[in-house]
Amino acid sequence: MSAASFDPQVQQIATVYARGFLQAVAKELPDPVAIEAAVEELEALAETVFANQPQLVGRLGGTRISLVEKVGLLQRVLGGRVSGVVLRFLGVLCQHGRFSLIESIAERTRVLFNQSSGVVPVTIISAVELPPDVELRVTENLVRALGTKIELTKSVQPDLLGGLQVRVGDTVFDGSVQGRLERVRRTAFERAAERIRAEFDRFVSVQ
Amino acid sequence: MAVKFNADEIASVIQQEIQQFDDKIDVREVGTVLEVGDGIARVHGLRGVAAGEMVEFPGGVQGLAFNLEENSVGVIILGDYLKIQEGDQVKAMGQLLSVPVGEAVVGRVIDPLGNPLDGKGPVSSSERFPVERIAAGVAERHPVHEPMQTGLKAVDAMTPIGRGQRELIIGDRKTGKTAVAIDAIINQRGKNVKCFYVAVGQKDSSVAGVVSKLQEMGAMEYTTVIVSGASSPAPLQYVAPYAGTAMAEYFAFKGGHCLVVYDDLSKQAAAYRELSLLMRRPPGREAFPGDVFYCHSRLLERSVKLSKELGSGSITSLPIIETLEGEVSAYIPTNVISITDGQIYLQPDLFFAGVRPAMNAGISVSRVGGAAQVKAMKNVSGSLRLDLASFRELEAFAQLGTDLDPATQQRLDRGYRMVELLKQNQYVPLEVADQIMVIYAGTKGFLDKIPTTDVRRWESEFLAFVHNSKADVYQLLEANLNNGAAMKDEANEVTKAVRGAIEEFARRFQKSAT
Repeated sequence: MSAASFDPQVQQIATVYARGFLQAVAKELPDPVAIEAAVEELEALAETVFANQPQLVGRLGGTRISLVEKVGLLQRVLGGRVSGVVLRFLGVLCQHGRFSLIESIAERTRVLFNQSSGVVPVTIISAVELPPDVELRVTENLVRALGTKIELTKSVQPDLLGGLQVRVGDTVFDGSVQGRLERVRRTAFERAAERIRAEFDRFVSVQ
Repeated sequence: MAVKFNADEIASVIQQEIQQFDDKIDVREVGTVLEVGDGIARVHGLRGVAAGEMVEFPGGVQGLAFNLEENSVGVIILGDYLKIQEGDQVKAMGQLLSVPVGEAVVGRVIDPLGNPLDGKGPVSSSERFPVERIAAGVAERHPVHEPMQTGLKAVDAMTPIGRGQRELIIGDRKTGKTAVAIDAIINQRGKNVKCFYVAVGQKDSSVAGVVSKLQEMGAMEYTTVIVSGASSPAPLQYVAPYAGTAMAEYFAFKGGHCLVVYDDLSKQAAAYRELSLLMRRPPGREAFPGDVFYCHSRLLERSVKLSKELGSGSITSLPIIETLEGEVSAYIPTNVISITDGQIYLQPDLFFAGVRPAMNAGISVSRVGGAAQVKAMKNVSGSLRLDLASFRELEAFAQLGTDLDPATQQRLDRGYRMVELLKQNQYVPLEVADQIMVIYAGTKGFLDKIPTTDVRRWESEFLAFVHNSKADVYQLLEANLNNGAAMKDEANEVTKAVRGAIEEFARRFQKSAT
């Protein structure tokens, strides 16, 4: 998630709709696999269809056309191609004038669904692209250590110089060379300054 | 004389430290800066951060988690916020804000985080105290019973302050509020009291003036000046009084006595209002947030006289509040008046009439200090405050008419002389025994025959006379300060000795030629 697009207020509204969608889906489809399919469907719609059709989102989110026309438009475009509950949810968004938030809502739906099914988002940041066997080993170790399923994101940041940084939720485990160098610098500086203050005469001579 | 750094030695120390460096994986809670400006930042993430926990921005700038919201954390930035950018990573430090404490801070001029501002090098102290701390409870306290002498006749006689008390100094701008507090600090010389002067939102030039005066009077030896001037960001101004109190607590918990001056809390309230509005907390009366009372009450509640079991230490505080046009019923003044154990009210018209300190005796009170006042002083000044207040009324009334009966005229004359006697120059605090003698002379009518214009000359010459020729009387009074009969019974030997000295001096005092 980029910081620039993040708006706490939008997130709050998106969370309300995401929670509502998940509850409605759970009532209609008792099977967890089917629920995940519905979440994926919503995600796919937001990411592939609506993200590429800003005009369509503008129409559906705006006030130029009436609600009946909006629902009719959704029916014509998506009717028969997506499941009934997703289509009805899109209708509800139109009715409440929140269609423009579809991307954030889909994102929050995924986060909430992962939370409820015990999947933890994990980001691995390395200095270079990880070889597949190392990546597999890291993933296996993480799954074992966390005791849950994980949703893995990889990222490459050359400034780390070496080692790995693993981010689980908001917690960062920093084993990167950059982080260690920074810590060495800080400790050496602080301790040396402390010793210089304690034994000033040893380090400074007045001539 | 040239100072040479021994580079090889320094390099070898650094090398040793690097060799001994034992690294573990660093585990930190992090977040991302969403927006930043005006001393605050809104951060996404930091899900496990506690309210009041310290966070670190890139470049080492520190912040304080202030608002915990559903989707973001409001952070106040304790440093240069211009270096922080949107998207920067913020690390939770897992600890509360703390400041260096101990002997190392005494005699220093520092900012609210303990960074030096006096060019004397870093404050090297191994101990730190949290800035926010819950005040001592009922069982940990002892009622106020020892005096904290300010050296000002008007204050020590009429609104005595005890160790552990909170006495508000309130008044308009330019009425001598800081002067009262600085005199109180100067008077602690040799009395084993550590002083802390917290300057909030002051002009740096005024603070520099105060520091140089304290240095000149030898008061910096036992004083710490904590400065967050008018140019400091609001978060630092908000934190400064708490930081000063934390430094005082170190000494109080070791059984020492401290005096803390908060100059002034109106500016701190304004800084807190700024922060709260930026954080979008709902504004209340005068746009202050709802918890501005708590902001001051939890600060002043930390002033304490500790119980014997905890070492009998104390923190006395002199908060200062600036009023606008004498408006004491504004929000912050009423709040702080209700929190403190009394107030010294300074009035501009008295100040400009030359009555300095410009204390209004009628509405200045000390709710607990009476118990702490030395007995001899209590005996001479018992009714002084009420007498002066009634004199003010009488004076206003007398201006209307012309004919006054002799009794009224006599009360007026006595009043004029007492007002004159209670005037005192800045930076010349008086010892309590000196104060007792001159107030005794005034209240017993020894000055009634002295022209009003000569009263202050009489006072200074009398004190010089006692110190030079009557040292035995002075010592006798000093030894009997807490003797209940001293200066009360006319037959008491102390009273007799002081009376004798006054009478002897009266015979040789030369009135000015008119």
